[in-house]
This record gives sequence, structure tokens and C-alpha cells, in this order.
Amino acid sequence: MDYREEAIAKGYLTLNIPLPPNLNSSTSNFTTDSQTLKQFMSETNPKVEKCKPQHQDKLHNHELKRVTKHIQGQVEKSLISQSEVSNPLMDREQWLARALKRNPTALALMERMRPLSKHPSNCTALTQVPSVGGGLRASSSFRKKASSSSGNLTDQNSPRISTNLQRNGSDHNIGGSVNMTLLNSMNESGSRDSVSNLISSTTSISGGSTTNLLKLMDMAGNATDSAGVLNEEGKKSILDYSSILGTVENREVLSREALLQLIYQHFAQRGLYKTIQTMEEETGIRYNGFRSEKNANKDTLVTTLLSLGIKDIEKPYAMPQSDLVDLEADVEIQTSSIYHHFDEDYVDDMKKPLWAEISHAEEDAEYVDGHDLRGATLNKLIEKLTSTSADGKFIQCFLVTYRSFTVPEILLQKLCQRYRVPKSIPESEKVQIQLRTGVIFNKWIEEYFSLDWNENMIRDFIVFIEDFLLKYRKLAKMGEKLKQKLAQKLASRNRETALVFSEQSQAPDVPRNVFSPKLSIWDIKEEELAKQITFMDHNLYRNIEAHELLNCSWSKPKLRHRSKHVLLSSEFFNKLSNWFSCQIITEDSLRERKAKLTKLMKIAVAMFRLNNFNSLMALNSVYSSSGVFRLKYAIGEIDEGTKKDFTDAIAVMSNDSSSKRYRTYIKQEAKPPLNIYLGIYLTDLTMIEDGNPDVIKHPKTQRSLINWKKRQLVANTISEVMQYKNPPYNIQQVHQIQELLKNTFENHEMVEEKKLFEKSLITEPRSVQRKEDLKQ
Amino acid sequence: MAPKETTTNSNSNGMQEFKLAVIGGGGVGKSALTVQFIQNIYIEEYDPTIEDSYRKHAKIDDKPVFLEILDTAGQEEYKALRDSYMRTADGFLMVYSVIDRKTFEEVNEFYEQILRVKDCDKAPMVLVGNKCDLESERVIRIDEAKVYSKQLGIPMIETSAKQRLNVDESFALLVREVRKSLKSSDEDQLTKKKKKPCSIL
Repeated sequence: MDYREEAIAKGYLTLNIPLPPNLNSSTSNFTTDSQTLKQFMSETNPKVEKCKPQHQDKLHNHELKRVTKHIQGQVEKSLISQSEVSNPLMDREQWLARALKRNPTALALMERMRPLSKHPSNCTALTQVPSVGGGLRASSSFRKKASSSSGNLTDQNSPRISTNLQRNGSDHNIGGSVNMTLLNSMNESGSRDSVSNLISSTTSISGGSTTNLLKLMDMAGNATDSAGVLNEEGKKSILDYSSILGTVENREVLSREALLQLIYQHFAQRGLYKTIQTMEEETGIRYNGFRSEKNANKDTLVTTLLSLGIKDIEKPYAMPQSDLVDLEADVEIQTSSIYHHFDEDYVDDMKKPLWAEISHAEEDAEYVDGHDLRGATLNKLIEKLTSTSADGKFIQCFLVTYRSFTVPEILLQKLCQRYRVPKSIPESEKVQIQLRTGVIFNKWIEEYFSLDWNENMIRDFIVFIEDFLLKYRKLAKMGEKLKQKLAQKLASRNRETALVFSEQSQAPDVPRNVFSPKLSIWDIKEEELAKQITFMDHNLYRNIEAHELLNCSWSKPKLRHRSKHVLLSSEFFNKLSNWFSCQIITEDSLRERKAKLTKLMKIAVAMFRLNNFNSLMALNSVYSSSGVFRLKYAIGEIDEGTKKDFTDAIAVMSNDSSSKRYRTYIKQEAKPPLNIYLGIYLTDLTMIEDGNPDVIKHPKTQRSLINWKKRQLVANTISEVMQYKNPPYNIQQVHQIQELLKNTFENHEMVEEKKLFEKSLITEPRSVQRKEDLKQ
Repeated sequence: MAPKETTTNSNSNGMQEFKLAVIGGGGVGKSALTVQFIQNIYIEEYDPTIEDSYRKHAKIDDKPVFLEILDTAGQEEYKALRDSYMRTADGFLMVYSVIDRKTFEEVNEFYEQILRVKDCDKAPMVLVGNKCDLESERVIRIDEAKVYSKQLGIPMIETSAKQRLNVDESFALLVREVRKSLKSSDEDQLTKKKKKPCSIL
């Protein structure tokens, strides 16, 4: 095995990533053999010296050293300053535990380091690799301190605390030290293979900082010990911290892939795209971020994430005590910057404290017409949302559309406020309200986690759960449940679920030349082709998320990025249509042209039978495009039966009476699975948006109210679009055909309608009076 | 026979029935124009999914007419569909925004496309400059639009859907254009016994 390969394999091992298949064969050579590892880490490989270090590699090393030093420096500084002060230690430690709670990312990183530190090869290496470097000296001395402190604690205090401390302390110390050692030895040995170096050093950065954070806690224990008194509060916060670790323990909050993405991102920000490419090839995991050359942001994500966890150490007393939630507190929300797209008087209304408004029971806070709610203020809507009268439809409508009248941050704060029921409300009612609020939170996290819940909100909400819900016996269970839900959602980010069908799909009808490189779309039978296209088109539609349909963002230049999958679907539509038009119009032979048109009509009929209205519409647009529609000689040759079937099929897509036929057909006749024609809903949403005001006035007092009717219309349309995602089509895809279709449509260069029309005038000139005059 | 090319121009009661398409780039406010026209009195709710949401009975020049408005706002990305939508319409409101030059320049493209689809050199059309309430942001002067519309040989009008200014008038203008074209094609049929209203040699 060549040196480079070995180094990469080492990198994987250090990161605890399974080896890629091409390296598997050589695993036995070095895996747990501590001797090899030691050699690798401490000795200079002769082959490396010959290999000329590239400019890029140098840069990496430099960057990594800088970042590592920066973070280490911060931690060490705070450690040293802390060891000098003894009294406020308790506060600081308590504060640190809370700071960690507030930072799920740091927590996630810490969790990520856990399995690594238990890696046997790392443990053995610890005993054999000598310590090097200044930072490490500091940390090993702390390690001694830490272990002695945990030992003392075992003697004096409750077993639970001590075991936790001991376990966390020792495990992480080992992991951290090893990683630091690795890093140091690597830095000293100069430029080795960039990838392995980077992977292990990144691990070291996070490993190091986590270890130090943990050491801080150990030290706190130590201090308590020496003072001889164990502060009650300090004890509690240690417990707090270990309980968080417990809840997320053994869950890989930050997956290996996520870690790799962080590394990629780091490189991307330095513009080192070549390295990313190499790493992608080696890890088999693609970088999913942007590859832009001009990135002004100097801080890498790795740095940001890690320093977020550490930053707080620098100003341990900065956290105001007031953010401990007060039961009666009901404050005005102060986040003016996020209101900019709303009307001013409406924003004032939005900012009003929740309970102050609800308790006053202002008459003009809502406008009810008969049984219909027409408009209401935000607080009123929150009240309704969390009352027993709210049905599933109301909740769904609110959660789908609320982003058009407020922002997730405000909703979070309002719902938290809702928990704090004033004393004036009877106990039974209070329980109901809190229960309903929990239900809403649960639904919100369940269905809109990736869309709405940013890091700040997760942090704020965890703080709220810890400081409020868990403090009350009656709410603690709900708090635990919500916390678990968040952890579960954090863990399953980016994970996709595969489709499973209970029934076997029909065997595909493949053409004989399916493996031939000359396979053409025209070789495939109509039914099979329709199925394969349906498979593609339906998957594009299934990717569309509810929020992509909000605020008509697909048609607004500034918001288009929010509607990625809507645009992908319409792009496919255009390509499909344009490709077929080109194929037919550029066909010189009348006979072939007729054959292709006949096939087009038959595919369309097959689409109709498959309930694929989107592709049906696309194929109809081929026929009615100006260039194809005028080919009267070719169309005249098609047999009447085919034409009639086609006419009948496309009749359902008629736009008369607001597409009445289509709307009735999919509701009453078509049996799912079906692939809806997306365009109709896009128009519906646009007309609802432009045809209804966002805010209405209360008829008596002229107070501005959220136009609830409008939101209901929007929500109904969106849920109709979402509804047909299930069931999916049970179609067996034929790889060769899928590839062919993908390549054909992806590589198809759109030809302007105008050009196609001009070509059509050549194919069948206006001057031709008889079909015999055309090329047969 | 292939699918029907155009809609019939009168219903069972003998009343004239036209399908009018509102055409224009994204953001010109065509949907607002349609909604304003359909909703006579100010109603707070407009539901586009119900059957009558694009229909209207009107009396233009003392003659009743039944109008169906074809507005594909929101489907601007579906460029492949334009031809088939245009094919079903009897007349066209070509809308641009007086505060956006790009939308004015796009009109020419729509104009040519309509003539291609109809495969003739004339079709009932009206040029509509919307958002004329935003006088301070105006970039297309009315004179410029008038010169252009004269060049195309079609009438022009400025509207404000927001202030409900000239909304009905613009549709009335178009109905007159459609009627005019019907009349001339009738005459064509009588005098020259032509089957199609417009075909070019």
C-alpha cells in the first residue's frame, strides 16, 4: 500500500469512519496495531520527504494551526484565570453547564467525540506517544487534577454525581489528549498528506475543546472539594449537565457526514475546491454547499461552532439573571428588525403582550361573520390555536400560513408566553391551555422542524423547557417529551426514508435493444415510456414542500430560491415539451412525422390512464404549439381513433370555468396515485394572494386584523397540492430508460418557439397544396 | 378531426360569449386586473377555485356579452404552455407595468407569439399600461406607448387595478376589438367565401 493510501486510511480510522471499499483490503495492516500507529504518528515517513508539498497543503496546515491555537488559547486562558480565582468558581461552573445547554451545537460536537475517545487504538496510543507542545502540558496537568478531584468526590458525595464526573472526565481526557498529541506530532512532522492531517486535526480541535470544557467542570468539583462545602446549586447544575448528556447519549447528534460537511465548508471558505474534490472522492460523501469563489466571510463554520461553545467562557458573568423565566412575566417582544415586511400599525398589534390582550377580552380583536372567523389579531389567533375548540383544520391552516403574518421567532415566544397562565384563570382551564400548547409545539416541531427551527430557537426553547416546564411537576413530563422530540429531530436531520411498497410492481415492458447505446426514446413502447416519465415527474413533484408554495415565491425574483422544487418541476415540463416539439418539427419525412405525432398522442393517452395530468399537459402543449399545430398534412394522416382518444384525454385539462372538469375529475373519478398538474395550483395561489388583502379592518372599530379567510384559502390550496404526494406510483424503474430520459432532457438545449415555427414553415411550407408535394 | 381550435362565439341563448386572455410578464399586476374586473363590488374574499371566478356578464355598447377571462398568472415559468393558452382565446389584453421597462419590451414578444399561434397577421388585442397610479415611479410615458400601439395597429389604455381606474374600460375596448374582427371575418366569408377568418397566402 502506498504511503498516501495508508495516511488516508489512518485519517478515516481517527475519525471513526468506515473505510471506503477500495481501502478495505489493507485494513489489517494497521488497524489496532499500536506499534504501527505510533510509528506513523511520531516518525517521519521517508516517502513524504520526497513528495513535494503543494501550496494548498501548506495553507491547510497554516490555517489549522491558527484555528487550533486560537481555540486552545481561549480555553487555556480561561482555565488559568479560573484556577487563580477560587470563590466565584461555583457560579462559573454552574454558568458553564447552562451555557452548554444553550448551545446544542457544542453539545452535539461533544457527543460526537464520545465514541471516538473510546476507540481502542487511541487509548493504547495514549500510553505510548510522548507528550509534546505547550498546550498539551497544560492539559495533562489538568487531567491529573481532574482525576484527583473526581476521586475525592466519590468519597464525599452522592454516587451519581461522582460516577458521571469520573466517566466523563476520564473518557474525554483520554480522547482529547490523544487527539492533541496526534495534532502536535503532525504539525511537527511537517506537511504530510493533507487529507488525513486535516481530518485528524479537526477532530483534535473539537476533542480538545470539549475536553477542556469538561475539565472546567471537574475543576469546579475540585474547588468545592477543597472548600469542603458542596454548594447545593453547584450540585444541581452538575446534575443538570449530566442529564442532558444522558438524553442525547449514544445518539449521534452530529453524524460523521455532518462533520465532513463542516470540514468541506471550512475548505470552501478558503477557496480550496481541489481538496474538497479529493475528499469527496475518498469519502464518497458529496459537499452539499456552495462552491463560490468570492466568500467574504472569514470565519469558518468549524471555528464559529466551536467558539460559540467557548466564547461564553470569556465573560462568565454576562448572562443576566433575569432570563430565568418568571412565572408572571409577560413582556413585550423586542425584536423590531424582523418586522420590516409588515405594516406598521399591524406590527404594533403583533407586539402586544399575549395575556394582557386576551385577559381584556377586547371585542374588536376578532371579526366573526356568522360562524366564520374572518379576521383576528395575532394574540387572538394564538389563543384560538391553543384552546380546546381548535380543530385539526384550524391548526393545520395556522401552521401552514402563519409565516405570512408573523415569523417563527415570534410564534415561539407567544407560545411560551401562553404556558404562563395568570393566576386569575381557574386551575382546570389552566391545565387545558398548557396541554393544548404542548400539542401545538409537538405538531410544530414534528412537521416544520427543518423549515422553522434555527439554532437560536432550539436553544431558546431548550432553556424554556429546562427553566420552566421541568420545574413544575405537572409540566415536567411534557417538557421531557418535547426535549426528546427536538433531540430526535436534530439527530435525523438530512436523513431520507426509502419508499416501501407492499405489492410487487408490474414488470416493465422493455424494448429489446434496452442495453444498446443507440437506444432511443422512440424505441420504447408508449405505455412503458409513459410510466417511466411518470416516475420521474412524480418524484419531482413529491420533492415539493408546503413552504415552497407560500407568498408566491416561485414567481418573485428575490424569493425564487425558496421554491427550488417548484421551479425544477416546471423546468422539466418545459424541457419535455420542447424536446418533443423539436423532434416532430425537425422530422423531414412526412411518414416519420406522422408516426411521431401518433406516438405522442398515444403517450398522452397513456398519461391520462396513469392519472399523470402534469405530463399530459406537457404533451398537450407539444401538440398545440404553433410549430406543431400547423403541420396539417402530418396530422391529417393520423388515424381517427387515435385522434379521438387524444382529444378525449386532453379535454379534462380544459381551462373553462376555472378548470372545472379537471377539478371534478381528480376529486371524483381519478383513483390515486395521481400526478397533479401543478400549474393550476400556482395560478390559484397567485389569484388568492392578489385578490385578497392581507389585513382587513374590523367593521366597527376599523382595527387592523389578520385576514384569516385568505389564510384558509391558501392553506386549502397548499394542502390539496401536498395531499397527492401519497400514495406514490408503484412503478418499477428501468435504469437504462431512466438514464436515457434524464440525459435527453437534461442535455436538451431549449429551442425558441419562434425558431421552431420558422423550421415548421420549412418542413411543411404554406405554399404546399397537396401532401404528395412533401418529402415522404 | 383534431381538437377544436376556437370556442364558439355564442351560447345557447344566442348571447355573445368571448374568452379573453390577460397576457403579460410576471409582476405587471395582471391578476389584480382580472380580480378587479370580475369583482364588481368590493368583496373581501376572492376564491379562484370556484366555477364562476373567471366569468362575468357584461353589457358593452348596449349589447350583452358573456365573458370568460383566461389568466394564467403564476404560471409564467411554464413557457411551453403559452401557445396552447393563446390558442383558446378570442382576444388579448397585453399588460405591461408603466414602472418597469422590461415588461413593456416583453409585449412585442407576446404580440408576435399571438400572431404565430393564430397564424394570421391580425388578432384582437389591446395594449394595457397598468399601475398608472404610481406616477412618481413611471418609466414608460403614455406617448411612447401610444406610438408603439399605433405601430401595432391596436388600441391602448392606461389602468390602475389598485385604484380601479379604467379596468372595465380596458376589457370593453377588447370586446369591441373582438366584435370588429368577427364582423370583418363575416364579411370576408360573405364576399370572398373564405373558410378561415384569417389565412395568409
